[in-house]
Amino acid sequence: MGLIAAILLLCQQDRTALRTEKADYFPAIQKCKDGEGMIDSDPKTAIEKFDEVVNNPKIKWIECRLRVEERPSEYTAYYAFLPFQYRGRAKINLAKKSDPDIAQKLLNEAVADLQRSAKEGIVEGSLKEGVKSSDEFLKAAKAELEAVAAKIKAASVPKTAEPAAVEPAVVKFRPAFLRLLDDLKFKAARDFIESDGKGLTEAEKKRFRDDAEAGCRTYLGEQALKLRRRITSDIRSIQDLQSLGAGELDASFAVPRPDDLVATHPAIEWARASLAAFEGVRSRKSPAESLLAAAAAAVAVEPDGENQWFGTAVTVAFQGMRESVRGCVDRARDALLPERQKERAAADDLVKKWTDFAAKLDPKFRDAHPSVAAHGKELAQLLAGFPVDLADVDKADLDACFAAASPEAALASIEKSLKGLESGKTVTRESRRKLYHLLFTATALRALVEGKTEDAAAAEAEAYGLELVKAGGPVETKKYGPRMEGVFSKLR
Amino acid sequence: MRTTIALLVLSAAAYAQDQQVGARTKAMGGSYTAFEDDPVSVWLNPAGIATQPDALGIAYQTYTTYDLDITPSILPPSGDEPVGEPVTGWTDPALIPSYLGLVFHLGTPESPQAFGFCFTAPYQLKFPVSTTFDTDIVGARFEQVFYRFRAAYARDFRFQPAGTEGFLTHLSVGLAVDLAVSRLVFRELAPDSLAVFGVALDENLSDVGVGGGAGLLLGVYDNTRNFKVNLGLAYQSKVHFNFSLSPEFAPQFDWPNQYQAGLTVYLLDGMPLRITADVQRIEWDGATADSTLPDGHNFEDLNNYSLGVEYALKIPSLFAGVTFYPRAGIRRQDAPWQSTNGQELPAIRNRRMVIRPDEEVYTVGSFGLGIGWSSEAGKSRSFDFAFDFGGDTNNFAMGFTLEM
Repeated sequence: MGLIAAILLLCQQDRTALRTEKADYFPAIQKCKDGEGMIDSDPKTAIEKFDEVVNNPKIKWIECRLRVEERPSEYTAYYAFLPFQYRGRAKINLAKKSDPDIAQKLLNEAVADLQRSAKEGIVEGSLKEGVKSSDEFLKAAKAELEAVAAKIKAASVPKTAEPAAVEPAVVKFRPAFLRLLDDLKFKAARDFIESDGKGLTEAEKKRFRDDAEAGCRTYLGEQALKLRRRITSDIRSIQDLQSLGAGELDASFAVPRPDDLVATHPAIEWARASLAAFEGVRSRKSPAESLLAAAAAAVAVEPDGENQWFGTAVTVAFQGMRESVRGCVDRARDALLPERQKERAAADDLVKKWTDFAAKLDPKFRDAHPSVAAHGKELAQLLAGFPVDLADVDKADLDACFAAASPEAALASIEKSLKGLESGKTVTRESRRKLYHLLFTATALRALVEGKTEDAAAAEAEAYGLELVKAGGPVETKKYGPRMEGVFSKLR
Repeated sequence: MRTTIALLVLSAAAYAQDQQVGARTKAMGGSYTAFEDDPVSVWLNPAGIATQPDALGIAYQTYTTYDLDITPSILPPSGDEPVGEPVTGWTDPALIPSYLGLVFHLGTPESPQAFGFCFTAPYQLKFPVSTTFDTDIVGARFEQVFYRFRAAYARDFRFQPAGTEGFLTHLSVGLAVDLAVSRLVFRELAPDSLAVFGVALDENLSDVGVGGGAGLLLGVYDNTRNFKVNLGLAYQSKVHFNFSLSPEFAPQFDWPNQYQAGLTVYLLDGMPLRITADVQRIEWDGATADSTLPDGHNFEDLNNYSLGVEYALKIPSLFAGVTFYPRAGIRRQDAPWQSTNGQELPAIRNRRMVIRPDEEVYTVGSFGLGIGWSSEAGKSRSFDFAFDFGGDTNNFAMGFTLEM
């Protein structure tokens, strides 16, 4: 309240946001304009946009005619920057589409917004053409509020009851009950109906219980909006999540205590249930795929349209799983068959987990979240990085070269063919060892046949020798006699 | 022929005396001291960055330089002197911008402050000088380039709330420290200063020095609608270079002291015009060694006067969201010599500039265009182009400014 009062004191009709503030005010004005266009057609979304503007601590000029300095002394046209008035109007419109209890709460809020706006002295005619003063909307909101209150009252009073007998108990009870609601103690308010509502009729008790539940639902709705904003801004990637401290994650997931509540909200329940899974991944005690369950649970929070709860969980899970699959592929690159098989099985298991997760989603929901399919495809593509055996390397026959008319030419030819197998996809360590053993042997044999010394032959085949040593060393060294064995002995 | 060389060399020197950098400053005649919306202020007046948002500016521009054109016609018996031809050149190497500056805003709207960093290359001196034994004869090529790296801090003090009408609305104060680098190339055409050894000097030297700068920018009046006046004052310090070659053998310059004062007047609603006026004083006298010739004259301190205009033109029907900034300027630019008589031209020690100027004051016109637009978040971007004329070659500058 203090902040709002300070803001109000600062406000006057014409204001200028400086160049150094334009990065804050341009988006705020745009949100206000977007919301203004939705006051009648989509008041709920409009209210969310105005909430973002009035809750932004960097926006100090509010309920005024505002211009923004683009360059020194170059200003935008003045805009009627009245987010409180616009939000009040949107709440009036939303109230018209709501149940009386919710409508009453919305109208109370609208009155508060419009009172704030009217207090700034925005006078009809002082703003751009077509913008009316907040006073006029305030009157309308108050009239609506009275009408809704009367409607609720009429519905709650039995036709046969004597109003004079009921009124005193209600009048006595209501202030204390409303204070509890204002303090967000909804459960205490409901208990208060039973403990202190002795003079109330059952119908009145029911109405108060309904008020407590409706107030709680509205409160939870607001909290869910804030929760979503926190989660989606704090956790945009697995790196974001893992860079948070435990306390910071708790703050991101902070939700009202259930002890005070008499209603539930799917997003709040989801956050409460999913915190442990996020904490596990944050602290690296659980694998990222453990968040798939949280993602699946988030579907129920917003089954239609873009579900940001789901988006956050699924993004973090995917990024972690992608890193895991990449790790498997990297480790398999130089591993021998048993470890390779182990890594492959682990990677296959991760891909299967994703596929199973995606398959269980409702097709309509999946279509609304194309990233699920794209991520699955990306994970599957990573499997192509696992090394494969070279089938052709076993077909090379060095012995046959010595039966050829020109052994040198035959060895050179086989060397060229083997070299052709070198490039391309990732090859298993065993195949690489065979390949470089053959390449080293063929090159060295050719050099020896050409009459070169063992040192010269080893030097000529040195490049293959280095790769051969990396792949595990020669397969065998004695087959082509002592000179060739001598060449092998020079391998380092 | 000597007259031609003299004229060209005079113009080269005349051009070199202005340290304007950036396409916008060039287009507006070089009157820039009261700018407050261009990262080029880091160099021109550090106080001008105090109220700027985060921004980057880069500029490339040409310089008029004079290369000797040595042709067979100089050989005996015809014997013409070598000719210095005016050419339009870039920095060397050409990839080096004439200006690169960054501004980082730190403060709050109530107490704006900023850091700025820049690299600038405002001077490119290149002209022939005389022999030591006959000051009418070209004896050597002289070239000196100057670079300066600057770190600046500025803070704005508001006397009136932003956006309110009044006199003396705010004062920005800026301070800067600089690291200056200069490269000197000196090539004798024949053995001269070390003739006793039969050696022609061919030197390529560099040195670094430390300097600084300071500035003030005062909001004189602002009615926030259609009239605003800013006053800027700035100082760029001398930087002494100590090359490993005595001035007895080769001319050399320090970076001269420069003092600037400027006004910017904004006419807003209905006439979005900005008018700038500047006076600059550059102390070339103290930047060179004195003449030792019997009738020698030293380089003179000089004053420049400039005027510039910039108009903001929007054509939403054709170019929605784009603002064009046509600009023009004019500069009355002193030469650093008292007389156009070749024998009264300035000399550094015993080498005189071998020129025969026919002007003591140059009038340089300029024009340019800026194309500006804003991102969705309202961050400004602009491409700027400028041309000037009235010297020996026309020059061109282009720049890009980006609010980050």
